[in-house]
Amino acid sequence: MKLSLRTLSARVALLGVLCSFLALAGCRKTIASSPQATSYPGDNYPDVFQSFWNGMNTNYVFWGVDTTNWDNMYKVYKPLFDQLTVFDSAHEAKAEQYFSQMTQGLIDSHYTLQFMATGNSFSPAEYRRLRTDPNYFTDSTFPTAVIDSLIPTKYLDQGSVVKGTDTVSLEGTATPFTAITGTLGGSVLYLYFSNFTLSQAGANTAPVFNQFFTLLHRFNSSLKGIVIDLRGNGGGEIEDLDYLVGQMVTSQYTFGYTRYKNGVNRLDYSPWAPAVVKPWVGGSVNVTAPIVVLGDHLSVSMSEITIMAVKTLTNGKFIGTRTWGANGPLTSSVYFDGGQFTIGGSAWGSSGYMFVYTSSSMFKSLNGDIYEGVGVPPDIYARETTQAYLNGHDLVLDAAEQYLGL
Amino acid sequence: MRIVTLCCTATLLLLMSSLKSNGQLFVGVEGGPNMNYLTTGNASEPFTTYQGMKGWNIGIPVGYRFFDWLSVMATPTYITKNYDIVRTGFFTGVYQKNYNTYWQLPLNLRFSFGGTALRGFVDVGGYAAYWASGRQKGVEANILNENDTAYATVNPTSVLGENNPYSYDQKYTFNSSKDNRLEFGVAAGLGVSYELFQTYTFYLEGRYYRAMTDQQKNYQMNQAPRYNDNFGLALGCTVQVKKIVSLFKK
Repeated sequence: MKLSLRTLSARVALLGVLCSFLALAGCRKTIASSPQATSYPGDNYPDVFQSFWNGMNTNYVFWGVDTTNWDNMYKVYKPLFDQLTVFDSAHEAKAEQYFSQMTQGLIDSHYTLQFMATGNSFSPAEYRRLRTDPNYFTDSTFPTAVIDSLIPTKYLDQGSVVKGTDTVSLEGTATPFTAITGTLGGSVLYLYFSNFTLSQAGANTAPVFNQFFTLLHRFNSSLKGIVIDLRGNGGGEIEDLDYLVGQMVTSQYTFGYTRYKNGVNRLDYSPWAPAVVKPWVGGSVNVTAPIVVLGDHLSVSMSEITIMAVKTLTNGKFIGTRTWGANGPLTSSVYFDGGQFTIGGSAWGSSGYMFVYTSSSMFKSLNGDIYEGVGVPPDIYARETTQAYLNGHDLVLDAAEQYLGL
Repeated sequence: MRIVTLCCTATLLLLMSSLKSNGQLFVGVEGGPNMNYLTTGNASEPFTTYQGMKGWNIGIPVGYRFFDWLSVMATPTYITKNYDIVRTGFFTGVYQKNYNTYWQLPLNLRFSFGGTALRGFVDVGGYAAYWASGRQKGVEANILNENDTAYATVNPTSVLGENNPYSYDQKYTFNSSKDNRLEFGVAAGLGVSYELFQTYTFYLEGRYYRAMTDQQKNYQMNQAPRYNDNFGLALGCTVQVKKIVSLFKK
């Protein structure tokens, strides 16, 4: 008997296979990705928690190296947030405590939770440092004591000092901006500034930078060295990297790599992009003398990036102590997929319930190390102390002078 | 990988047993273009679209005809499954083309119908695939390569006006925590064939490979899955093995 597709058995076979196919084809997992963190209603604590937890999955850029078990945070804290049924001060205090506990181990040292209803904030990096050293922020005489008296009077050559203070806007906040320049031993250029807002230098600080860069360009060949003092510098604008370091090189170079989130899941990353310093468009010189950058435990963000950029140069040297450890570049949330985000809907007003301040990208140094959360190690360790200051010494600047042969 | 090996072994066994029984075993070659789409959820990614990309596939079909209307076919295939992530609006110019290659083994039942020489057919089955390699080509905004001429300006018109673009074209390095290199799915096809001299069969087929497994391991809660959907064309020719064998015997 010849079988053909017209026979009953053949048709039954085809029908059976097609049904199996269709049944199998429908067995995919549901495609339901979370909406943007700001898109949750956020008018109750369970929603706010869900929004935050999802926002962290999508926006936090360090999941590839951070060992925090974020799934476990969901399992532990979701039931606790579910119990917060009413908005009042007692429940808000509980909620802030839970959010802080969830995030206290995160390595991002920019990371800060800002609770809009109460004005409270929580920084995991600050929390960890104060837990291990209660005097972390107070055991340094730098910058105020050293800059105001010791360095301009004892170290810098008399008659070479130019200094000033302006008020600038740093991430929307009015911030004092102090800068000092001068020479050490007649042949080493020194520059200190309190944060990276060089483009905003005003009537009092612009002369400082004008003096520094004029001397750099005019006397480059006769300089014995350059000291850039970034101790206590809290960071600022990325654009200043080329403006400062880019005036000391005449060809572009790579000093590390950055990558961003490019998908909604935790390990969705873009390729590593080279972090570069370019010669400043307004002019630059090729500095061959040693460039020493001073940093300490309060050198943060752009200070650390600048330190790594200088360290990479063959004539660059970092003297001081290990830095703060917030070197993942951070910029406005409009530019990259990851980074800062706000949770809580319109019920909370335009500022939402909570603002999550976090890096936009992950930084990897040229040697492959990621210093986020641990800080950049110095090439030469030196630390100023109160006792040394009282005795008229800045031990870090002493170390720089010794290195430069002054 | 073990499953792909098992499937290949099964194909070889089928080939060998058929040679012995001198049944209607056929073997051939096929190839053609395809269009692949990555199906995922990205509602929280503003100004981002996932677009399909063209690719190609080449395979060696091996089959056994039980009846004139029913065959079983295994086609070891080298196939590309590409897709494109494209940013829009303020991010225009940022994209990433993902070129992925797979070793794939579809196992299909072929139901054919029609006349003696010109016939239509329907393929239904499943496949196992191994994600062999990947390549990423694209442009991203480079946060530590600022556009210096935009220094002190605050309102760039595009992300590449603020940050210089970084263009890359590089091999994809698999992440063992994230990437699921084994893919299983279902396959379906519809085509026409023409038999020549009762020996050679030429065919043109439209195919759909629907991945049923996520391209990622299940490494986090609330994970947005990623599935390949591949639509392809295959132009191929098979020949009956016993005819070739008889040629050599002569």
